[in-house]
Amino acid sequence: MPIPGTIPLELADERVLLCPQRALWWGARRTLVIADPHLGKDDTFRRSGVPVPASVARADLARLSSLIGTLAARRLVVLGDFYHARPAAEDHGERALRVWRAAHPSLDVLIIRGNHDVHAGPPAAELGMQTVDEGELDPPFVFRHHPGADERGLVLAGHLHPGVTVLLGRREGRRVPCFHIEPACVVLPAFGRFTGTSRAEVSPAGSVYAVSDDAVTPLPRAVLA
Amino acid sequence: MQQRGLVPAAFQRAAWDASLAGRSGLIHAPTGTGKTLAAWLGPLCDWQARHTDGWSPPPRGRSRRVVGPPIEVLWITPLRALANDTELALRAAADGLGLPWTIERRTGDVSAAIKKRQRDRLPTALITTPESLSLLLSYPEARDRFRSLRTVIVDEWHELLGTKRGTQTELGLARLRHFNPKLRTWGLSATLGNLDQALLHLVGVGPGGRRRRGTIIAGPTEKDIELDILLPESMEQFPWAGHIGLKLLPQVVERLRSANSTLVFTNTRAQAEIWFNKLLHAAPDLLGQVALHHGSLDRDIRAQVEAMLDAGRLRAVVCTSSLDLGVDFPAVDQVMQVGSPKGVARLIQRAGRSGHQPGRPSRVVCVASHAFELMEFSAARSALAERRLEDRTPFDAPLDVLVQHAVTVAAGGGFDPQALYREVRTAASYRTLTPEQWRWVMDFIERGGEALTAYPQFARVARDRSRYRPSSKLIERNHRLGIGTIASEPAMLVRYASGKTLGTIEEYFIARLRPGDRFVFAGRLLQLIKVKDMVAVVRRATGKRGVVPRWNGGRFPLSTQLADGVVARFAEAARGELADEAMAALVPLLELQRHMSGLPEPGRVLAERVTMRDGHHLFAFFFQGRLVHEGLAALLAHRLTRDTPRSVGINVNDYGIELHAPDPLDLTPDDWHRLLDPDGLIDDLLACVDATVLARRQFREIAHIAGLITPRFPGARVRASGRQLQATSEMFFEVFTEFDRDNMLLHQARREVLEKQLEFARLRAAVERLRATPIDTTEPGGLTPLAFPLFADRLRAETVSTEKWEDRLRRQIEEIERGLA
Repeated sequence: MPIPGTIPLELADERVLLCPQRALWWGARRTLVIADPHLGKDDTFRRSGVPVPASVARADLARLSSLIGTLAARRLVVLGDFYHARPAAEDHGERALRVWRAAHPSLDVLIIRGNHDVHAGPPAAELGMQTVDEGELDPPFVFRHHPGADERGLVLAGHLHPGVTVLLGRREGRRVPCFHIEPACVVLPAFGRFTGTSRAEVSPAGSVYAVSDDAVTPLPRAVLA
Repeated sequence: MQQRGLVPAAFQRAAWDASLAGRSGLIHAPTGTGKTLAAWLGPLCDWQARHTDGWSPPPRGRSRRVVGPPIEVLWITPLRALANDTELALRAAADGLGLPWTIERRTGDVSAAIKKRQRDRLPTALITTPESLSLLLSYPEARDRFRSLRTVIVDEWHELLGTKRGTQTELGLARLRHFNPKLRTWGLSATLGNLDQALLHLVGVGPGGRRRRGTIIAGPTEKDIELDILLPESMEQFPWAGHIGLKLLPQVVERLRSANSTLVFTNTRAQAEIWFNKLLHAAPDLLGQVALHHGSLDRDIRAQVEAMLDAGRLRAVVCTSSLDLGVDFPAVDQVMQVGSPKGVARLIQRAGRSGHQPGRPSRVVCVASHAFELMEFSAARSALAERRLEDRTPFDAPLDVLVQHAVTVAAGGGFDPQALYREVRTAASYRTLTPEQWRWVMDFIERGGEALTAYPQFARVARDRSRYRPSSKLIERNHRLGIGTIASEPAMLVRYASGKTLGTIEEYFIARLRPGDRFVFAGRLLQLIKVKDMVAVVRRATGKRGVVPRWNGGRFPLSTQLADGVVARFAEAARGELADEAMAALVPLLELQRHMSGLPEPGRVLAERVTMRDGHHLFAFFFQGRLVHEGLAALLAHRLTRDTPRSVGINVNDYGIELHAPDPLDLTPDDWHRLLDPDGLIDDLLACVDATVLARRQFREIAHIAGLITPRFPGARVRASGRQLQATSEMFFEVFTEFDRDNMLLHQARREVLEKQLEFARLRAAVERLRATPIDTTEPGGLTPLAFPLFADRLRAETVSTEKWEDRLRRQIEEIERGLA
């Protein structure tokens, strides 16, 4: 079943879909790829006296579930920063994660270790999610957290939370998350909604696809500058 | 004072008597007339009267420090830079009377050692800022420390009044009055249109909303201010419109050369940049003697300019409102206003920035950038003479400030919610605070939101026996760091590769530039090297041209007083009366306007219908100032398109609005009556202006004040825990909008957009009045002098759009692709 607003692309001769839910679908392997969910970030804020609604995390997981269901995904690859900080068992996000896992018991989950995961540690063993160091090869792709080049294949990465400022009218700009595609490396937008963006530095050979609630839009350079 | 051979003025005596009698009040007078002493001598004499037998210091401990009497006076100043001068002035008077008082400052730049000492014992008189007062109140010892305080004096109250710092001050005063109900509060203010309201917000209200008594004391009236309006040599060449208007540049240079040191005030930062460059271009020999000063320049650069100005080493400084306030520069002997004066009070404030000899009038050289500004200056001349001054409107119960204050009080010894509610309502800004609003504030700091929304494990304050206190030391510390750090985001730093920072620029401007592009900033021509992590790295460039950045915000509308004055000038001209040489110079233009269409008259609205190749234009001159016109034009366009599906473009300036459409815009009196219906005004307005975009922008400040953004200090080491708490106001705006729609901080953002950005009160009054106003529609057959500026300004018009940003983006992409094809 098609998802509205997606953009089909050929990456390293593989057909993929860029989804407005901030995910990349690799149909041939029935694999859903996301980056930087930062699970539990809202918990961290609330614990420090900054009110962030817990619904943020629930909505992120619900969005993930819905993608997995619609696409009938068999595998989920997380390109790092799965957790924002070390979770406590009583954390709202951690409990929501257990509920989510129970709803997708047969899904293979592969987590590429990101800089936040180093401090946060891997998910509890009973959740059955595998964590590996970056550089995992699955031809033609190499899964990494930090963007970079790898001679073995095209790198899919996260970490940067790429965003671009699009110009709306003469006096207004707006920062939106994006897929940032360079010849050697594709950087995915952060999956978590409460994560923010940083400005993507697009090379002359690169291109960007803006993500909004209902569609992925290829951006011509003129809209960027 | 007698000792120094001076005779006190009558208003000073009046203020001392009132203060000695234990009363509160507001003293309004221009700068340099002795306001400070008027407020200061009362408390000194009061202390003297209570200590006729002298005063002996308490036995000294190990410390060899001079100890003075316990705190008597708290002096609040809006500007840290003023604190030093104030300290010297207050000390001179106290020493003159031979009083053993200690007088100290407590501001952000006072050393930690002194602050620590002040924590043990406050000086007899403490000079501080609103933020530092909040900080003092956030320590549990606050009540003890202020036990002996008898008088608070708020300097430059007019500057604080219309701002959230003013609201913060009101809450601080309510707290101090709670400690000591007999506290005297005195304010020093420039003259304002709403002095009664200024007094009310200064002295607060009693329990049950009862007005507290206070005395308004008028100082000597302002010295005469003479407006010296520069006239172009030939009116034929003087532009009808434009916002830079450099025609008068040669005359300006001449005036600069004839004075010792001049402040050249402009209305926007972009204008300041342009004028600075053009001045140097026209008079290259002034290089090094002319400087630039505006709010986006790096603090160090601004401080350097101020120091040079103080030392009398600058011929001129081109500036914005960044130099409206601050310490006096004795070397400055001339003030210029470039572009519309916008408001009378502002003009007086700026005129007062030149040091002038006693008995001589102060003088402002007025530089119009286009023809009708000559008329505005002429109208300002009358308004000045008749003292028709603008109001400063206080904020109405802003919840972000209240959230911050509640946590401050929680840290400062804790509170009982009912008691604090009663106390807060004695601050005039919160006198109408409802129990529901207060409950929301309590929910917000105790649970994160209303009981039903999910904020598990959240608590900024928690009940500890009967009182609410911060729920952890970390929260308490972060809160103190956050008081007074209202940083704007997302401003981008402009920095040389060598590391020197020049200032900040808005991101959307940089987003348009590619590495290698040139732009003008900080008075220099720069070339963008690269953008990284919100820093634009630049190098000096050579060549002639570069784009000048524009900053959002800070565009003042023409005040009601001045707009009415302009209409009055039209009416006089219609009767053949010409008030001054500026009006005389405008005669040919006014004749043309009358001949083609008509002259605006008080009590009527002039409208003009013009058909051109690009469609039908309807101009209507309401004279309500640009903010009201923005709302009004959007409202009219919205209602017109709702009635009959079509597209209507809009454009506004300070005088009126323009509607344009592909088909005729024939509006009958009935149509106008229907369009100007005050019913459903708010809903229609929120539906038609892109309220979300405006609210999103407004929310930045709210998020900082309400403590959503963990403060970060440039250059400070970021702890790992701090890094985990990085977020932008934008992110909060989005998650609240999606997951907590009833969050009152969102409502506040929308309300502030209505009240402050669209001047809703003025707009509603205008709609009600205009509905009953006859509208004279003419068909001039072409653009009249009044219509032309609106038409010419069209390229700079802001888009008012109801579309989602995604649709706007898509449309933009389509346009670009069509352009490429």
